Amino acid sequence: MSFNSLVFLIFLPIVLVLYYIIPHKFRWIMLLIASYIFYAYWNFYLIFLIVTTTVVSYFAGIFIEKTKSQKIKNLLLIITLVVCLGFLLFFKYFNFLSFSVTSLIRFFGGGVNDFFLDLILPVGISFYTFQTLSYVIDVYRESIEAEKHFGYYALFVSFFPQLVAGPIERPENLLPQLKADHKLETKNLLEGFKILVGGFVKKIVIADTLAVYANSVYNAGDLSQVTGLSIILGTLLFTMQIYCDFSGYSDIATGCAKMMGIELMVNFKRPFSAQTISEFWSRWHISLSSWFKDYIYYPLNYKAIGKKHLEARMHCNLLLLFFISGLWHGANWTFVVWGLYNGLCQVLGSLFKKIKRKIYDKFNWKEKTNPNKVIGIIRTTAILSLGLVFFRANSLEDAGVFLVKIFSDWSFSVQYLVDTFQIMNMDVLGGIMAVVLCILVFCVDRLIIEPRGTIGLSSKKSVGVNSSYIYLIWLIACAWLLVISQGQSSGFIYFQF
Amino acid sequence: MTYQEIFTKVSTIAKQVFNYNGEITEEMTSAEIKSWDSMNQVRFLSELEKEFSIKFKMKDILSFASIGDISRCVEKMKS
Repeated sequence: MSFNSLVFLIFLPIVLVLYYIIPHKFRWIMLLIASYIFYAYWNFYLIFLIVTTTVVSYFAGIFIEKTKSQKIKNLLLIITLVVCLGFLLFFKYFNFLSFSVTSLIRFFGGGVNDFFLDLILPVGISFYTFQTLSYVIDVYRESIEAEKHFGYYALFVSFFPQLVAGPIERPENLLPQLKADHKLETKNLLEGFKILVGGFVKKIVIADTLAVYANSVYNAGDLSQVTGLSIILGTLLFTMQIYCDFSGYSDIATGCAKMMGIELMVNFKRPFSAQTISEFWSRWHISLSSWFKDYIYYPLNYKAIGKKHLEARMHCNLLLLFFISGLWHGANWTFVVWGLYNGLCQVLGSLFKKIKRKIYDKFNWKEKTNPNKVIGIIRTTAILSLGLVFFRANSLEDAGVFLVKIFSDWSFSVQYLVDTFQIMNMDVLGGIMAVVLCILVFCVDRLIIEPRGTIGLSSKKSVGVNSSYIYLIWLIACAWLLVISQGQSSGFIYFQF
Repeated sequence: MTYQEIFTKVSTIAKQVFNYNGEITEEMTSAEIKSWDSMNQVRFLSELEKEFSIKFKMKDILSFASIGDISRCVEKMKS
């Protein structure tokens, strides 16, 4: 079931009541059943994929720990990787690979027809697969002990708040918390509820509203009518939409878990305050970026130490990492190009960094001045948004048309402005609302989401008697959201990944 | 080579690689040194391997958090 469905608003209170009345010893059973119900609501049969992944990785973990033979350890790790990644590759990438291969053969003059399988994409498969792999690899690296209790392990793989769209949790953070006896605390309930509603506001009020304008541009029937300005505005609004859609999901997940006394990892740390592309990626979808770093990027780089051309190897690894990251996001060449674009921006950024430092040293300029910071933030947002054209466009051809138009389709006539807003399906009120919503994003983040204390940004504000009025406002907002959201809200973008 | 000597050398290399002008302490992690990013960490470890003629193990590298962790690992490998 989706967070933004009515059934979830019935499901969550029931789970919470049961969670606190059932003795600690049996809680995992209830949570596991609840998590499977949560998932089965999409498709009952896909539960078997999670169960198979769970069983294989559970026994692999135990045997990897038990055996003394390095060969058997390697074999068990490979089996787990093949099974878990096999499901992911088959369900998510089979049709994409098949289409790419047949297109390539046709390009070289071969006569083959497309071959597609009628596959259902299991919701959240990329998320729970990565979470499972992090457990097995950690056991293999001996950085954690294998979990002996099958129930808790199964719950770690399928814990419903973060099952389908993250944060991708690490075993050392989530497993001990699932086992701990969390007593009912008003503070946890209130803080969790506050973050949960903050997430709903970001998703239902902000993301779903901004989506209308971005969709009008990107799904326009006749692309020749789309103006350069409308693409820039549509893309900037899409940037905000995807941030609210995805971080909103993480906030709802964090809020749900917090209400049970469980702290999920921080997934977003003010990404739009980043002054460089690499800083952005250390603030955006942190649970995935850190996964890629820990399990792919670092090992590849460390293997390169002592070899020739270390710098070049590190840059190639970075490109490879972002190629994989692009593919992870979706089985389409648009995502691959988007990933490579981000990788290339970082490689160029790292090369320019040295030149920039030399120039600053030579002229004795100060690097960390406020104007420099503002320029850095604007530059980073602009570069990232430009890349998002690939992410959002329906095909590479569309993305190409949009990029050409961004740099060429300009005019200073009144008619041009009228056309732009017509294409965006935006009137004056809509325009004002879009600006207000973009400001609201920052208010929600600063006042509601961040003061949870764990983000390390503004831990000064904590829950006290004085802030109880905030809950009243949120309760009213929650009720209002319930009324307006029925039948209007759309699915979360990251579910498809 | 004593631990203090190792730590002094590690600190000097850290200052060079991370372009850091302040004083390096054992407890320092990537959180305190802004330019201690993933790429500079690799450059840092590469310089240490050259300086001390050692080869870090992947398991050790993955457990490094602070300058002290790295210095102690170098000491263990040199003894």
